[in-house]
Amino acid sequence: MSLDEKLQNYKEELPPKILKKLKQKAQEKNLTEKQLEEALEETEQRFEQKQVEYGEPVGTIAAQSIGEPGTQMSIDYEEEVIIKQNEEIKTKKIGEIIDNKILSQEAREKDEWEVVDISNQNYKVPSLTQDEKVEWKELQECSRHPAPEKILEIKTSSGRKIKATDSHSFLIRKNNEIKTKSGSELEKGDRIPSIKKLKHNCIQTLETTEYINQKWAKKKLPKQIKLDKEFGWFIGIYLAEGNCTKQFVNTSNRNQQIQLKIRKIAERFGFSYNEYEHSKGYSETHDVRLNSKQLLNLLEKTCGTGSQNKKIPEFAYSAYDDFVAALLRGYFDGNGNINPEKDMIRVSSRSKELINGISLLLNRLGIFSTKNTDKKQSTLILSHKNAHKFKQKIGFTQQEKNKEINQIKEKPTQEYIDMIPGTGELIKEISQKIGTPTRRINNFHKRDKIGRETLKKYIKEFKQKANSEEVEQKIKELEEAAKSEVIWDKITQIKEIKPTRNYVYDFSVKDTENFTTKQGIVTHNTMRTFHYAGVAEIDVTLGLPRLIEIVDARKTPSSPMMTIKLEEEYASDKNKAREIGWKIEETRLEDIADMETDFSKMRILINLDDETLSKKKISEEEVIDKVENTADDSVTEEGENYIVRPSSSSYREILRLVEDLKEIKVAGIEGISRVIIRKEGEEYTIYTEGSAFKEVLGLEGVDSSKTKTNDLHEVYDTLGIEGARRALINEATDTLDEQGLEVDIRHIMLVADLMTNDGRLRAIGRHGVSGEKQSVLARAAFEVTVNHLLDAGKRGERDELKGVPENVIVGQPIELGTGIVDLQMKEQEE
Amino acid sequence: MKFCPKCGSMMMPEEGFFKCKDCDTVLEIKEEYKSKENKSESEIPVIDQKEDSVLPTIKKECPKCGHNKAGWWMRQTRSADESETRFFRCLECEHTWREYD
Repeated sequence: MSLDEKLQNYKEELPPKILKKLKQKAQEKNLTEKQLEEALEETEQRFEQKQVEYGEPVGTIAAQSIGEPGTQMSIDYEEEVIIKQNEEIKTKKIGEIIDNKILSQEAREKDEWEVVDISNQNYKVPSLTQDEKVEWKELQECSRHPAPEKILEIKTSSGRKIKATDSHSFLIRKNNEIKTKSGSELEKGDRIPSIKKLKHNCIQTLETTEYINQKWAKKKLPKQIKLDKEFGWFIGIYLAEGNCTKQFVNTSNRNQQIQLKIRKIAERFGFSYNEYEHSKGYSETHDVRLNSKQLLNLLEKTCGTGSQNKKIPEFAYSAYDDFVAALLRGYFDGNGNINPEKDMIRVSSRSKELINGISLLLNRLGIFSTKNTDKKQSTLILSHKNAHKFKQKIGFTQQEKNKEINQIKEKPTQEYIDMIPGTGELIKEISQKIGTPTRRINNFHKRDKIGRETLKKYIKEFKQKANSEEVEQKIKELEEAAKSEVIWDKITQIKEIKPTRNYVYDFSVKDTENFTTKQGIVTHNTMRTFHYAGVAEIDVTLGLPRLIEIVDARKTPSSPMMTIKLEEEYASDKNKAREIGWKIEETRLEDIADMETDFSKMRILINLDDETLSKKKISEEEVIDKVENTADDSVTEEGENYIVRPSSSSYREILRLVEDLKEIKVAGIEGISRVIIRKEGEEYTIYTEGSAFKEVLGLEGVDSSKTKTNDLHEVYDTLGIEGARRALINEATDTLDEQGLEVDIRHIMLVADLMTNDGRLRAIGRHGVSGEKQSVLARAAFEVTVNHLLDAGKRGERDELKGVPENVIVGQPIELGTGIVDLQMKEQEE
Repeated sequence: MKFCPKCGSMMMPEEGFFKCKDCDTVLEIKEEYKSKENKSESEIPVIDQKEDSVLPTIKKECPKCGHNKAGWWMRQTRSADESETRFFRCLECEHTWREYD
């Protein structure tokens, strides 16, 4: 095959330009057939990789589409997130939560996204603030959209996992600030935050009624069980070694102290218990069986039974610290052990969920743990520092085990997990300023991360040597980083997997924009609210041109704009504010209907969109009426569409008719072309392009005492001359302030007074103030000289010579200042 | 829209056939001549957060509120032989002021 023929084969895959270049190169370098084949294949591969998919954000489009719902940033159905409603803390699968919301509430649809507003339902999630503290922040919206083909599963060095779409953004730390990075850009070695401590607000007692089946049991559980240390410990030991059969709750343990404790609990509630010693399976065990069907139901429902199904009961997350500590103690008493090399505390279970829950509870007490999973068992490991913390805050019931913890060495350099990234630059700056030899900190600067304890040490040192305020400021920033309430966990693996369900989900969190999964990973949410990227600013004339407009009292300013403030209930509710927005915004037929021009049959088909009609509260009949008015012809219906025929059968007519129909106003106030709603502080304000002051003031929901417009003549028509004067002063002052000029308000007040002293708005200039002066000479000296003189001559006007210009022309002293008085001769008295 | 193959003038559609204005050629309409205008989806944007300032920043004390960071930009406001005026806008209270030499 010749060169050309070969290249022709690739005509479909590669564009002609590339083929041409290939041909050139092939001829230059005299490639053999095989080499050419390889080159072609390689080119094709690379070309395909670089190709952009439909809907994929690229370059500047990507930048602009931030905030566009189309950029998919969501997590998988199965991810459990930590969420608090009122004071109850739960961990639930995000998919479940959001699916329920969408079923029960109306979702707004945009492209493929379904969005539900949940801002007033008091949902909160733990969120990472800019100063690296974990706080409960309010949820504003939740959303879902169809899942893409593949999503990413990211695994960190502490064993935490999260599944999210590749454009879901994660938080990373760079340049001592918390920034976002999308999943597709994340690499192994990047560090993402997971929480150290969860703040909580707690419940003290547990209501048992919802868990109990039998009402006629012999020994009833009390209606409320106090969540105290004893009960907590019992739950812990149950989770470790207990199980429920149909008649009793069983716990197996050989340790005497533990058995004693279990008996105490049984006595507290008044249950009877039986004890058996037997060798079952591997070793001798001592079973304590509590006979209470109600307790059985409670435990089954809250904690589950069977080693694979156990989980932390929901109420444990909302309980006080001492309950949690007791629960953990119970659990570790049952299952925990210290490994022979004495360097960690270990606990394992067949239930992955249980291990996850224990890890979360440990987080609450400030203890960080590492997870390991293989096919059957999940293991939790507490090493070194964390093991000591465990002893401090929780401890084992058996004193010997506590003593063993003492033997666990605290290795000071084992900080692979708890490293703080993004501080390298700052450390280098500080050390340069205070003169520490840079070789000590070069490592931290090059790798851009430093262990937390090491950082604390250096901070102490820096503090001592700090020599200026600037340095102290920087040290403060470092301190914030060291005190952060999250651990920056290193990513060890990024895998592509298939999503578990058809949809992927997301939250929108107020202020901080991130939320936490059950495993503790803090993930960044979708950009703020779904406002559209692109121009969200209103075009207003500023500066000198605006000043000229004001002073010339132009009838129609070049960018009329209204600022509409809403009444109380409307101002705090986003939906109500939006409704008012729809009411005002001018809607044309082209915004609510599809129009098809059929040239072969000379007619226009109009298909109204029912959804938009109902959203904006427009009735079909009204629309058709208006269409009939414009078309001068009756409108017939045909299935979905309405048919309009032009009066005469010519192309020009039909095209003109289409344009006219498109412009028909169906809703809203005429003149208002665009509406934007912005939230300032606590309330929503509407900004409009286009001004219709009188109509808007009369609308329900609009606060007529605070709404304003920048069109002065409208203010004059609605509020009178004094209102116009004040508006004049405000507009002029705002324009000057925006430019950074400070003009005393009295000067502007003088100009405003001059313009309005007649009772109407007059321009400065020959159409207004200057052109209406009494004196002929003054007017002639200003503009259009000859006209004024001639007209004055025709009419025989008389100039009193009272003002400044005419006296200057004539040559007399002015009647101001010295000339305000006239001299008179005093009669001589004789 | 079609042009008559014989005389070249415009043909008007009438009951399924294209009829030429001048001569009497008649052509059957085979394809659909349609033009579609879809509705333009417009959503009222609701902006919840204050947009971040896009101006480059500098450490300058605001004369009004004392905050230490301000955005700046430069414009040639005075005559061509004068240097540019520096505008500053405080990031906190949005007070704008200028400076020139």
